[in-house]
Formats: sequence, structure tokens, C-alpha cells
Amino acid sequence: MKFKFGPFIIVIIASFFACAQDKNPINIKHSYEVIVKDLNNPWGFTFLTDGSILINEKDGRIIHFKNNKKTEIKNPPKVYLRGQGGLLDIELHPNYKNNGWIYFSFAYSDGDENGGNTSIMRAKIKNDSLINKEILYKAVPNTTKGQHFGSRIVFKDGYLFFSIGERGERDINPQDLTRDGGKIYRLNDDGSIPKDNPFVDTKNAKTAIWSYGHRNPQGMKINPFTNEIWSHEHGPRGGDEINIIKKGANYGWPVITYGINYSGTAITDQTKKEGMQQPLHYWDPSIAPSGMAFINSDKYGDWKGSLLVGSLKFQYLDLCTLQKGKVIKEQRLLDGLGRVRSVEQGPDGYIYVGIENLGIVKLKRNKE
Amino acid sequence: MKKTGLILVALILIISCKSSDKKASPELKSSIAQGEKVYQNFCINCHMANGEGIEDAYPPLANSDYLENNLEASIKGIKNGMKGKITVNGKTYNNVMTPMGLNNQEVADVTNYILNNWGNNSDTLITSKEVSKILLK
Repeated sequence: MKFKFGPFIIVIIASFFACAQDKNPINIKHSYEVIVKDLNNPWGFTFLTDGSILINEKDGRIIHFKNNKKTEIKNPPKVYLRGQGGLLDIELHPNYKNNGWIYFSFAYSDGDENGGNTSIMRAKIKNDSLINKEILYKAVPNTTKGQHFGSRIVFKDGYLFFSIGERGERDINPQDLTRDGGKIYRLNDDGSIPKDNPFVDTKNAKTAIWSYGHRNPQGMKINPFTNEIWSHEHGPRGGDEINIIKKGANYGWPVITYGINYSGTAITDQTKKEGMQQPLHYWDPSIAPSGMAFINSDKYGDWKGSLLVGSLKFQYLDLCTLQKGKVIKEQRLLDGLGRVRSVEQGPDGYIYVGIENLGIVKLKRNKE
Repeated sequence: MKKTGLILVALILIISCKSSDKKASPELKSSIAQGEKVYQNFCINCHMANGEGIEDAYPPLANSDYLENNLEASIKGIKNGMKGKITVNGKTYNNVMTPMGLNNQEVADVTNYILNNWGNNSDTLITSKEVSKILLK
């Protein structure tokens, strides 16, 4: 009698996939310098005009780092601290120098229901304290789920764009324009709805929506070479994506995806569908991307024009070489330093990287 | 030979089955069921679907000697977060787990779920009362 190997081979192959390893090579021709020490989770940070840094710690503290000294900003937003929720991104108004507005995204429990959802606030800083706080957007309803708050903020052509994840409700939020979550939004800088937003005439739609069908975008930047909005999002297992965000577009979650459930079961057998955008790139295995920056200075030689993406899961900074708008090569920078949460190019042209349980480090490329 | 194959398949099935079906009390069963939801919601991103963790980054919860020998520290960790070096199944991990904002009932439920899955074994029900006591220690 013949012993049947088929099932065993399938089990063995399946277990290989289950333990899929990230194969991106480690780049050793770079180094780093710790600029801000002792941070827990620098979720977002931004540079003020004097070169000092404003840092959002996820636990709700805003830290002003100036002349090697940390000062805590008083009167921060009251954050809903649960799961992935807390104090999230921070971004200056493009005209900050004259108007002083600073924009924040955070998990907020305002409202009647239990739980929280993502909110956008703007405020100014005076005497190390937040003043003139204005809530510009608050996603509803609240939920006690701990996942997928987003959120990143960018400005483009004077408009405010921000992402909100689907809050762990993939089957009800991302494809429904009448519901918050799983969307990228556009507002005027004062929180009002631009008249030419794509869904202003759609019945019952949330008119702040700019694009939909997202899962959990935690990286978003303007590509300085093309002026497009680039975003990446946490997909399910094997389905993290980079997308270029277009007006009114549907990015397909959860109807199409390259990923599967954490448990290994299928979500959908579709990876493509008419009327839904294809990602520019996807990661399998998932790297759990957070933070994003384009190298737009001359400090890094031929890395100029490359995209940097933080990996929470594998704890490195992913250097993505772009060619004709595609990722053609990936390398690991800052390998194993910690969970990379946020990435920014500073006003000095250097890349600064927020790493959990460490701080903010400055990336340096070695001379060849 | 065919029989051997069948026995192997059966063994694999038994091993991969959840061990929570054994003589668990209704209270424990219901807490494990709630705990599974908490796990899917808050823990699975790093500790993965079968508690296997991620090599060199996040320790496994499956067959974990750390859990078995440091239950109180584990419960405190689930509630308040953890930071620094720990050794799990002979490997050292140095990372940070931020506090998830779980209430004591949720901490108890997810602990019961973890302690009754993936090769971990426990018959005792952890209650939210016990969690409160442990947190005061």
C-alpha cells in the first residue's frame, strides 16, 4: 500500500507560508544618531520654524524638544487611550509662520456612546500650552474596538487631508459612504467642507470623504516630485499596500485585497475589480507600515527620490527605490532598532525617524 | 501503512484542536469566548493568530513557559503594558508593549483565552476580582 504524502506536503508548504519571512536585504552603509532620547511611542512629530521638534506621544503627551530639552505642552487634547488609539499625528498649517495653527489627530470619546473614534483638532501654542482648540472633525459612532484609527494628516493645495481606519468593522464601514471609517477625508483648513468634494451631492454621504475602501492608513505624504498624495495602509495578512490617493476613488477593501485573515482563511478571492484601484505596491509578508517620507534632499546621494516606510512588525525602515512610479527594490535601514512609527524629512534635509521605546534618530548615509 | 497515515492525520487534528473543550466550567467557557474577541481585537497584530508571536520581536504565547511561571506578572503586563527584557522558551526579547486600556474583566477574559489555547493548560478561572487583587500587589 502506498503512503499518501500529498496532504503532508500541503501542510508543510502551508506552514512555510504561515511563517513567511521578510527577505529584504539589510543595508549596512548607513548609520544613525539619537537626537531625542527616551520616548515611548513617538506617533507623530513635526519641525517648527526654529528647528525645534513637536512630538506626539501616543499616551497623550505633547513634547516640545528644543535645545536638547523636553518641555511638556500643557492642555493637550483629551485622548481615548485604548488599543491602537491615543494621540496620533501632528502637522503644521502650511502658513504656520503667520497663523500658528497646528493640526492633531487623536482618538476621542466625545459623544453619547461608549468608546471612541478618530478626531481632528487644530490649536495654537502659547506659553507652552495649547490654546484656541477647535475640533474640526469627529468620526462617529464611538466604539470600544481597539483597532484601526488611522491616522495621518497632510496638506495639499491649502486643503487638509486625513485618514481614518475602518475601526475593526470591515464589513460595514469602508464601502459605505454614509459611514465614517476606512476613508481619506478632505476639509478646508478651518474644518468646513470644500464645495467640490466628490460626494457632496451623494445622498446621506459623509461629505468630507475624498476616497474610500481603505483599511488602516498610517502613512501619508505628498510626493514632492509629482504633487500626488501617497498613502500606505495596513492590510490583512500579506496585504499591506501603497496607494496614490485620487478624488472619489475606491481602494477596494474588503472586496478586493491581496491579503488573507490572520487565521489563514480567505477574505475574498478577488484581487482586482472594475471601479476599484489597484495598489501601486503590496507587501507579502506584511511589514505593518507606519510613517512615510520621500527623500527630497541632496543629503543621501542617489537615494534622492526614494520612499521611506517604517515597519512596525519587522522593526526596520524600508528604503523603497522607485522607478517610473513603481517600487523596484527594497532594503532594510536601521534594522532591529525598534518598531518604526514615524518618518519625516527635517528642514535641514536629513531624515528623522521616530522609533518606539527609543526616541527620534537622524539617518546618515556612509560615504561610499 | 494506510492506517499509519490516518493515525498521523488524526494526531495532527487533535494537536491543532483547541484544548478548551475539556471539562471547563460554563463560566470559564464564556470567559474564554469573550477573551477570544479581546484577543482578536487587541493582541493578534503582534502575537499572531495562534499565539506564535514574531521571531526576535514579539514573544510567543503558545506553549509559553513565561506565562506558566509568571502568571501574575503576565496579568499585570496585559493591564499596564510591559517593557524591557524577558525570556520566553529560552529566547530573550527586549521590547515594549503599550497598555491597551483594557478593563479588569477584559484582562481576565483574555488571560483565560490564552491560558486555554495553543498548548497552554489551565483549569482555573481567572476572574476580574482576582485581576484587581493581583494589580494591587
